[in-house]
Amino acid sequence: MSVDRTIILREECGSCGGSYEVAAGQSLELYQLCSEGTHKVCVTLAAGAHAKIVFAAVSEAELEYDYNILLEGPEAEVELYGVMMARESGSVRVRTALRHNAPHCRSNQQVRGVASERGYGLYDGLVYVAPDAQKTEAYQQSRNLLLSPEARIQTQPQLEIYADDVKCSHGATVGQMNEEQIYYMRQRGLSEEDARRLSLSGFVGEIVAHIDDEALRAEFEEKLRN
Amino acid sequence: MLKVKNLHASVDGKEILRGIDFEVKAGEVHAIMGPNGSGKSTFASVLAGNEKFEVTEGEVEYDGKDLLSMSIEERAREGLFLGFQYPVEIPGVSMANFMKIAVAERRKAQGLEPLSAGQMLKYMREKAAVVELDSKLMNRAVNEGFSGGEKKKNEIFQMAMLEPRLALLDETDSGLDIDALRIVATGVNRLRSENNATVLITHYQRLLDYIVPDFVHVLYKGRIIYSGGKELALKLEKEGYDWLIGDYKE
Repeated sequence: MSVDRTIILREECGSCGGSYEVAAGQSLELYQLCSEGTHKVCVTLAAGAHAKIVFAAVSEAELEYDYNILLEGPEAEVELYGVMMARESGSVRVRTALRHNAPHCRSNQQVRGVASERGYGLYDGLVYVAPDAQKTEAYQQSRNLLLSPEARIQTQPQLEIYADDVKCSHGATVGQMNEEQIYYMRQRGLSEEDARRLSLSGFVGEIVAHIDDEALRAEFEEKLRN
Repeated sequence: MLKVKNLHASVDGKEILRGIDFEVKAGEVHAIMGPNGSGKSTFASVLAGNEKFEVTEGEVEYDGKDLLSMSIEERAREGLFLGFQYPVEIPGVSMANFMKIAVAERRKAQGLEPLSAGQMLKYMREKAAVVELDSKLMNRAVNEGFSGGEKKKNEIFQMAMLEPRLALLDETDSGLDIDALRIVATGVNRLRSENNATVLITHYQRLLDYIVPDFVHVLYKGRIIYSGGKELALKLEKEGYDWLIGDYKE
């Protein structure tokens, strides 16, 4: 599928995001990798429009991403994949509000969080399904890793559904690194450090894998290297 | 190559291994059998250095070194390989990437130059062919979405890649159909040499039809209570363990 418009929001976008409208049948890809400040992004989709959003929210300071996504026409589709990573004493907040205001729309949100040292991460994700947004399909998953005893993550996936013929699911997990994986890799000769690095890169790599452009994917990988 | 003396180990304060004596020389194949819960997998895990278990007594000498003072990865780099009963899935980490690092570490410990990207690719294909493993799996995440048979073949593939001195195969035969079992066994047999040794941990005589051991040991309640030649496995298959363990029951 060809993409009609690609937006990349990096550091230099400052403390703003922007509003983007995707016209009927058009597609948008939006990538965001900022490290500080508050960034508000609004995406409005008309009938049959498609948007893919991939973000890395990595910070040692204060960082907030706020996505407001409006599905206003039937058959619109949104994919949102992101990683939030709070390091040192940083706090990273990601808020998403995904509003299904039209029938037959689909959305899929996969957000992964990693907090190390004294980092704090928040994922506040709302999926709203309006009364006439029948046949909505909405999936939302939040998976999180705490890498130190002082790290914290708060996750709040929320579904607010006013239509009766929909398929929606959400889930959230918060856990620690899988020690079985670390043991397995060390048994093959990897140092403990390499094993932990690889396990973490796998965890965030499944999100980054949604980026088709190689150079951009490499930029994300670099950003997410702990 | 391996000398285990009076090895005791516990998990959560419960003693599982209660004084194991065991010796393996280069070129040998040993089979360790025994009823469920007798400590077979624990023994393999302790030799691999699994930190879940605490060694409370005993010594293990491996190629003249004190194995118990080595880290998990030092043991692996020195050629100790454990084939897992339940191979672990590592989402997002490709087999190719994982093997690249593992092989580089093993070669470094052997004083060998690292392989070039091209050599590595060729080496992986060669070794995958040994266990009839589809080399397309190299681009997939480690064990993720692999069938039961593929996971076990993947263990033997990794063993082939790392060319261990001592391979411990923990229930590698469990859950395999007869074709996969034959492939796995053929792989193990092809990797046998007079410089390395294999320890098979198994429930069933079946595997030993394909990989013929030099010695068979019975582990029961954390001790090796009986050792014999390959004919012991057949006797156990026919008669069970009761004739052996009667004296040890509490």
